[in-house]
Amino acid sequence: MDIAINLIINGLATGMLLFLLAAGLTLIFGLMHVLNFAHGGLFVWGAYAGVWFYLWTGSFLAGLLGACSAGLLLGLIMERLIIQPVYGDSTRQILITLGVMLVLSEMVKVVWGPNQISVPTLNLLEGSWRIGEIVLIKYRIFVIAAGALVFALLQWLLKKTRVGLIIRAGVIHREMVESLGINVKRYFLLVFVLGAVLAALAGMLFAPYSGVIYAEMGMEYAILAFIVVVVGGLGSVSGSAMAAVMVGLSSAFMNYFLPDAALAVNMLLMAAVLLFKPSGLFGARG
Amino acid sequence: MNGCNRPIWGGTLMLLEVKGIHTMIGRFHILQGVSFGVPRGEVTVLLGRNGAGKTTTIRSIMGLSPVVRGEVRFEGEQIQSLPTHVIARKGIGYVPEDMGIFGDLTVEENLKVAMGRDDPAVSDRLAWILELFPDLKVYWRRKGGQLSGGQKQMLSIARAFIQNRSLLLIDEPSKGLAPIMVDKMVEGIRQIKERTTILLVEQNFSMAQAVGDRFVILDGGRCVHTGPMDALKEEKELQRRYLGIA
Ligand SMILES: Nc1ncnc2c1ncn2[C@@H]1O[C@H](COP(=O)(O)OP(=O)(O)O)[C@@H](O)[C@H]1O
Ligand SMILES: [Mg+2]
Repeated sequence: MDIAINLIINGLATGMLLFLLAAGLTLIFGLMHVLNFAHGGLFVWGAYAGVWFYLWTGSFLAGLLGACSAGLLLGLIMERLIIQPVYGDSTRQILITLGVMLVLSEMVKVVWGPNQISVPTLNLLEGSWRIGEIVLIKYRIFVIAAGALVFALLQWLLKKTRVGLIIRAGVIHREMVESLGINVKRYFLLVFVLGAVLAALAGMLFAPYSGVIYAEMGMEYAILAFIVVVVGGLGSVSGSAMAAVMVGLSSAFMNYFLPDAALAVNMLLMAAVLLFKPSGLFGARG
Repeated sequence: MNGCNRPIWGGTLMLLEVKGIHTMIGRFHILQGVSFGVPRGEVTVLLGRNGAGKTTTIRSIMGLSPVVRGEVRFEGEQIQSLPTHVIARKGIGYVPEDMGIFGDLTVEENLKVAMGRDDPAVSDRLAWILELFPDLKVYWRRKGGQLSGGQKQMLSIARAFIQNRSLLLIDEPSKGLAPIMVDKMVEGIRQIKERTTILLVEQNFSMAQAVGDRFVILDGGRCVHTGPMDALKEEKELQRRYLGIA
C-alpha cells in the first residue's frame, strides 16, 4: 500500500516535470509547426545554471531565478538565431535543432566538467511528512504543487487573456489570424521564450528531486516529453498535462517493477497513439 | 479587347489594381498574368469555372500565395510583397473559401480575435453587424465548429468586417448553402456594400447578378473578360464558354 502511494507520488512529480517540458514543445509545434529537438538542452542548462546559482548563493529561490533567466536568454537567442531562419523547412529545422541539442549538452561538460554534480535538497523542504503509515517526501509534494501552479497559470494565460486567445486561434488556423491583421510571428517568439523558461525551470526543479544533474539528462527527459506531446495531442496544453501524468505514473511503476522496459512501454504508447489516434488521446486543442 | 487592363472605369479610380500577376503554388504556375481592377464603392464579382484561379487570385492579393511577377496596388501602393498581417492592416478584410472559423473558440472569441483593444468605432460596427446577422447574437457562446454552414459564413464575414476595412475579399459565400441562406447572404452583402468595397468570388450566377456591379471572368489563370454586370446578361456566348451556363 505505502509502496503504491510512493510510486503514485513519484509518478505525479515526474509527470509535472514532464508537463513543464511538454507545455512549451506542444505550443511551439501547434503554433508554427516547429519541432524543437533542442528543448532538452534548455532543461539541462536550466538545471546547471540554476544549481550553480543555488550552490553559490545558498538560496534555492536564487537558483530558480537563475534557471529562469538562463531559459529566457537561451530561448531568445535560439528563436532569433536558429529557429527564425529555417521556418517552414522541416528538414533543416530537425537537423539544426538536433545539432543545437548536442552542442548544448556538450557545452555543459565544457563549462561545468564531465562529471555529474550532486545537489542537496534545501533545508526547508528536506525530509518528509508522516500520515499514519504513509511517508510523504516534502520535496516531491513541492514539485507536484509547483507543476500544478504552472498549469493553472498557463490555463489562465490561454483562457483569460488576449494573448492567450490569439495563441489558441493561431494553433487552430494561423493563416486566418494573420489575415485578421495580427503578426503571429511576434506571438510565436513569446511562446517560444515562455516554453524555454518552463523547460529551464523544470531542469532546476528536477535537480534536488534526483539529487544529481548530468549532461545526458536533457536527452532522457526530452524523449519522454516528446512522447507526452504526441500522446496529449500536438498543440494541446491540457492534453499534455493529462498525458504527462499518465507517462509519469507509468514510468514510476515500470521503473519499480520492470525498469528495463520502462522507456519501451512509453514508446509503445506513443507508437500506438500515432497509429490509431494521431490527434492525441485528449482531443481538444488549447 | 477584353477590358482587363483598363486602369479607369468611367472616371472612377480603382481601389485595387491587379496588374499581370503570376503566382506559383509549389512547382505549379497557377496564375499566368491576371489583370483587373476593383473600383471603389462597388461589388466586383470574380467569375470562372472551377480551377480557373479565383481562389488563388484572392490569396495572392492577401499575401497568402507568393506573387512571383506583376504587382498588386491598393490605394495606389504596391502591396504584393508585404506580409499578410500588414496587408490586412492597410484595410483589406478576408473571408476565405473554407471560412477559416476557429472551431474550438466561441462565436464571441472568434470575433474578439479580430477586435483588438477597446475601440468605440469597433463596438459600433459590432452592434451593426449583429443587427445584420442576428444568429450570431443567438449563438454568442456556442463554439464556432458547432455552427451551421450559413452561420459560419456569417461569422466569417462579420469577423472580416469588424475592423474598418475599405476592401472585403469574400470567396464563394454561397457555397454549400441552402437557398434560404443564400437569400440572407445576398441581403447581408447588399447592406455591407453600403459601407465598403467588395471583391466577391461567386459561382452562383443569380447571386452574382443580385449583388454585383461588375464582373471579371478568369480562365486558365488569366482574366478573359470584364465589364458591367448588366452587360453580362446579354452575353450568352461568354456565359456558355466560361461559366458553363447554357
Ligand atoms: N495546393 C495546390 N497544389 C497544386 N495545385 C493547386 C493547389 N491549389 C490550387 N491548385 C490548382 O490551381 C488552379 C486554380 O485553383 P483555384 O484558385 O482554387 O481555382 P478556383 O478558386 O477558381 O476554383 C487549379 O487548377 C487547382 O488545381
Ligand atoms: Mg475557389
